[in-house]
Amino acid sequence: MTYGITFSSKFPQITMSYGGYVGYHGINEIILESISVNVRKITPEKSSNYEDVTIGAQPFSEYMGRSPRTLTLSITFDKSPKELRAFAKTLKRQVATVDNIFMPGMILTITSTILKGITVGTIWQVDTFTTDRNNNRGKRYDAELVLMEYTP
Amino acid sequence: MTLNLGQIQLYAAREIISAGTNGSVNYAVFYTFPVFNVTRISFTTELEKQVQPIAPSEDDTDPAPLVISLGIKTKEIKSLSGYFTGSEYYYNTTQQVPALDRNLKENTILMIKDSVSLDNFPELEGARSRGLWKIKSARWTTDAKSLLWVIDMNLKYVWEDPEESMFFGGGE
Repeated sequence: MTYGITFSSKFPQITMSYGGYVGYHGINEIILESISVNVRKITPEKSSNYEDVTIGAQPFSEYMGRSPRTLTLSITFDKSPKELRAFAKTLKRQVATVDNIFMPGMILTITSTILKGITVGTIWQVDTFTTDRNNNRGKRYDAELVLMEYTP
Repeated sequence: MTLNLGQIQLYAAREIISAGTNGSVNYAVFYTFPVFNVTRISFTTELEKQVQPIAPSEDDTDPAPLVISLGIKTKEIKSLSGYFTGSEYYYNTTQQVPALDRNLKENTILMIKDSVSLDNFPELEGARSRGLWKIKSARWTTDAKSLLWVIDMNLKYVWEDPEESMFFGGGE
């Protein structure tokens, strides 16, 4: 049995104007469509950044702040290759292919889910998108989506 | 019998940079492989980013680090596994690791075409009609039961089309 998450998606576009001033760095957010996925496994992760310094026999680690929190979702598309290709073609993308269903850098807001541990309204940025198929699992599309916390 | 997800046609090619003024790159096929039966395909794209730590503030909040997105770092087939059709690609004592070693060299460009159609492999579809991939690594093992050489490759995408490689759109 699988449980779903629905995301609304946006894409950042870098501009050379900000607050009406030309020449400043700004970001436009292009609104894309809503995407729903079936989730099999959820792995939230917290980690720290350390810089290791070697000093003779007594090295030390400098704490460099925390890393962005990540959320790894193991998802399944209940679609055949043909259906998945057709689905990709319906997306508002410059290049509408299967690997671009979740583009790295895309901003996803969770709009609905019944899954515990996932908060509706939280915003994430796509870090890695991996699809994996093998002959043991038939034609099913398994995918892994690694999301990073995003601060607007 | 080993089941497969579908069959694709692979060609080994090398880059030829034209001597003309535009410096365009062409690809010359030097070897056509037998039909490749795909048993696993894993495809990945990854973000290139820079993470800037932010010092905790006095009120002991825990600010998120600043993440600067730089574009797509990786687009690759993490794993393309399968076997070739043809007696040359079965294990025998006189002919060990046949044409594979000769033609699946590191950095070789593989052109992927489907022998029937690309319908089974939407992962391989790009803006182009053909897929161009560079071999990052290739390894093969003999399956003791079937005596087949089972090949597992890691392939890097060859960016060719500027529109496709465009990540963030242009500014105002």
